[in-house]
Amino acid sequence: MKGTLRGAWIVFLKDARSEFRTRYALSAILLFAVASVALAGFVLRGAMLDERQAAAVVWLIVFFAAATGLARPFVQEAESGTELLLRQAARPEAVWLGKFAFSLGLMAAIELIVFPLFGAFLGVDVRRPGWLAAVAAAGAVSLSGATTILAAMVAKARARSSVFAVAALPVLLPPLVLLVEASGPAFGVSVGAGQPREALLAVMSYSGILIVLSWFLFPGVWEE
Amino acid sequence: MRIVLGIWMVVVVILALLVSPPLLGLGDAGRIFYFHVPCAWVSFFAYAVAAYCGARYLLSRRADWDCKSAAASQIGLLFTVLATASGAVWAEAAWGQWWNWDPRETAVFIVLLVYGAYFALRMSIEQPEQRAAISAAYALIAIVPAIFLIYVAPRLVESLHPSPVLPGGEEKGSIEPFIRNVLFASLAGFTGLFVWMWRIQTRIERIALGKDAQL
Amino acid sequence: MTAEFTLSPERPAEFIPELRLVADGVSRSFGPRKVIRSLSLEVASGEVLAVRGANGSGKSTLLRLLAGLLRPTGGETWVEVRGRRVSREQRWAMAALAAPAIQPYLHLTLAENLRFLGAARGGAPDAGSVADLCRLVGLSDRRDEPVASFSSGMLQRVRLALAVAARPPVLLLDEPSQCLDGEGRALVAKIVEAQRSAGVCVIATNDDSDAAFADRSFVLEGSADA
Repeated sequence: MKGTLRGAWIVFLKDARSEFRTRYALSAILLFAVASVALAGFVLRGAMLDERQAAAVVWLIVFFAAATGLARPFVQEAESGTELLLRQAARPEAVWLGKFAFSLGLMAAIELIVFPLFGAFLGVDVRRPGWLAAVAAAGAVSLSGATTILAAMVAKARARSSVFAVAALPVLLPPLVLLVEASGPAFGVSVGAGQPREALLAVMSYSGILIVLSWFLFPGVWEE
Repeated sequence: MRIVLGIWMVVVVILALLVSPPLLGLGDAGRIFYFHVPCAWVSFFAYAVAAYCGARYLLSRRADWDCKSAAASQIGLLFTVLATASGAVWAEAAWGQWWNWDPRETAVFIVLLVYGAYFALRMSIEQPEQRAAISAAYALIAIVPAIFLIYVAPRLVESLHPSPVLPGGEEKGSIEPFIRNVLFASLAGFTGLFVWMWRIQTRIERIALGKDAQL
Repeated sequence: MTAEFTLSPERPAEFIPELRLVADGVSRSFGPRKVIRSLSLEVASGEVLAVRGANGSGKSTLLRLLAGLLRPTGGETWVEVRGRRVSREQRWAMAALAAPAIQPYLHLTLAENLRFLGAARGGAPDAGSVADLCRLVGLSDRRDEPVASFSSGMLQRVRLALAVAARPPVLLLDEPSQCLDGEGRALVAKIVEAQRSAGVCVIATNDDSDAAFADRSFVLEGSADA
C-alpha cells in the first residue's frame, strides 16, 4: 500500500509537471469554465433565480467543464504514445490513484473558478459558505472518482472526447441531481425544505461505491 | 422450449386481455400493467446478467462471456425501451400526459442513456480483447447507477408512480390473488422470453466474432 | 535504494546467478488473428537471445509477452530465480522493454523522464545516476531539454536509457538499432554486453549486426497474412 501511494504521488507529479509546462490543455479547460459562467450570466441577466435554480445552474456548469476536462489524464497518454512507458513505470493501482488525484486537482480548480465567478456574475448570495465548501468537496471527489476509470476506457476508443462525454454524463447524473439538492441551504433554501444532509450522504455513498468498484476493475481495463 | 414458451405467452395474453377484470380503475387501459411490469423487471434482470457475465469475462478472459454480456445488454436496452413506452401509455391513461418528468420516468430515461453509452463505447473500440474488457467493466459500473435509479432514487423523491409490486410489495395485500397470479405468470413468461432471446443474440454475437465454429 | 537504480556499464547490476526467463506454450491472438501460437523458449542469465522473423511475425508481441506487458491468450511466461518463480509483482519490477512503440514524455526533459521512471519503479535516483545514464547514451549536453526537440535517433537513445534506468535483470530490446548512427550502434553493443553480466537480454531484430550480439537466435515463423 505504501508503494502504491508513493507510485501514485510520482505519477501525479509527472502529470502536473507535464501539464503545467505546456499549459494549453489546462488553460483550455479553465477557460471553458470561465466562458460557461460568463455565458450563463449573460443569458440569465436580470433573471431572479431562486436558490434551487441557482444551485442547478452552477452544478451544470461544473458538470460540463468536468465532462470536457476529466478525460485528459488518460487521453493524453494515449495520444502521445506513452501508455507503455507508464505501464512499465507504475503498477495499475498507482496509475489509477495518481490519475484520480490529478483529476481531483482539476475539479478543485474548476470549482474554485466557477463558484466565485458565478456568485459575482449572477449576484447570488452564499448564506452558508462552510456547507457549500463541504458539498463542493464532495462534488469534486465524486465527479473525478467516478470518471477516472471511464477516462481510461475511452482512451482506448476512437473519437475519445465525444465518447467520454457520452459515457460519463449518465453515470454522473445521479450525483449531479443530489448535489443540487444538497447545495440548497448554502444558497438560502430554508432548512427543512428538501433533505440536503441525506442528499450529501447519498452522493458520498454513490461515489464511494463507484470508487471502490473502479479500484478493482481498473487493472483489467488498463492492462492489455 | 420455444413451443412451451409460445403457448405460455398466448395463455398470458388471453388471461390479461380477456379474462382478467379491468384494472386499477383505468378500464381496459389498465391491462398494460401485465406487460409494463414484466418489461421493467426483464430490463433490470438483463442488466444484472450483463454485469455478471462481464465479471466472468474479466476473470476468465474467455470471449464467450463477452458475447453473453453484450447480448444481455442489448436485450436489456430493448426491454427498457418497451417499459418506457408502455409506461408512457399508462401515464397517458392515468394522468392524461405521456411524459411529465416524474422521478421514475426520469430515472428510466437516464438508464436508457447509460446503456446507450455502453453501445457507443463498445462500438468505438476496434480491438476485440480491449472492447470485451472495457465493455465488461462498463457493464459492471453501469449497474451502480441502474440500481440507484431504479431502486433508490424513486424512494427518495415523491412519485406518482405506484411503488413497485415486486419485489418489496407493500401493496401485495391490496391486489386480488387472481390478478397477482396473472402477473406472476406474465413475469415468468417474460423472463423465459428473455432467456430465449438472449441465447439467440449470444449466438449472433459469437458469429460476429467468428467464434461460433469453436463453441 | 540508490544502489538499485545506478546501472551503468561501469558499475553493472548485481548478477543474479540462476535467473531464467521462460515462455511455456504461450500464445496470443488479437481477435481472430493468432499472432503467437504456442511458443516455448528459455533464456538463462548471462545469455543474449535474438528473436528474428519477418515483419508481422509477432516479434514485438512476443517481447511484450516476455515483459509481462501483455496478457497471453494461452500458456504463460515467467521469470524464475534458482528454480523458484518470482511473483507477478516482483516480475514486473524485474523486466524492462525498449520498443519503437514506447514514447518518452515529450514535454519533460531527458533527466525528468529518467528520474520519473527511476522513482516510480521504487529507486530513489540520485543526480549521479541520471548523469551516468545521460553520459552512457551520449546525451549529457541535452539532458535538460524537453525530449520533444529530439531527433528520431536521439529518441531511440532515450528509449534505451529509460530501459536500462530501471536496471532490470531482464532486458528486452525491440529493434534497438533503429534510427541509430554508428556511435549509437556501439552504444547498443555496450548495453547488451553490460546486460550479459546483469541477467537476461532478448533482442528482437532483423538487423544482422544486432543479431551478432546474440549467443543464439530464435526464429518466428509466420507473417502478417498467417
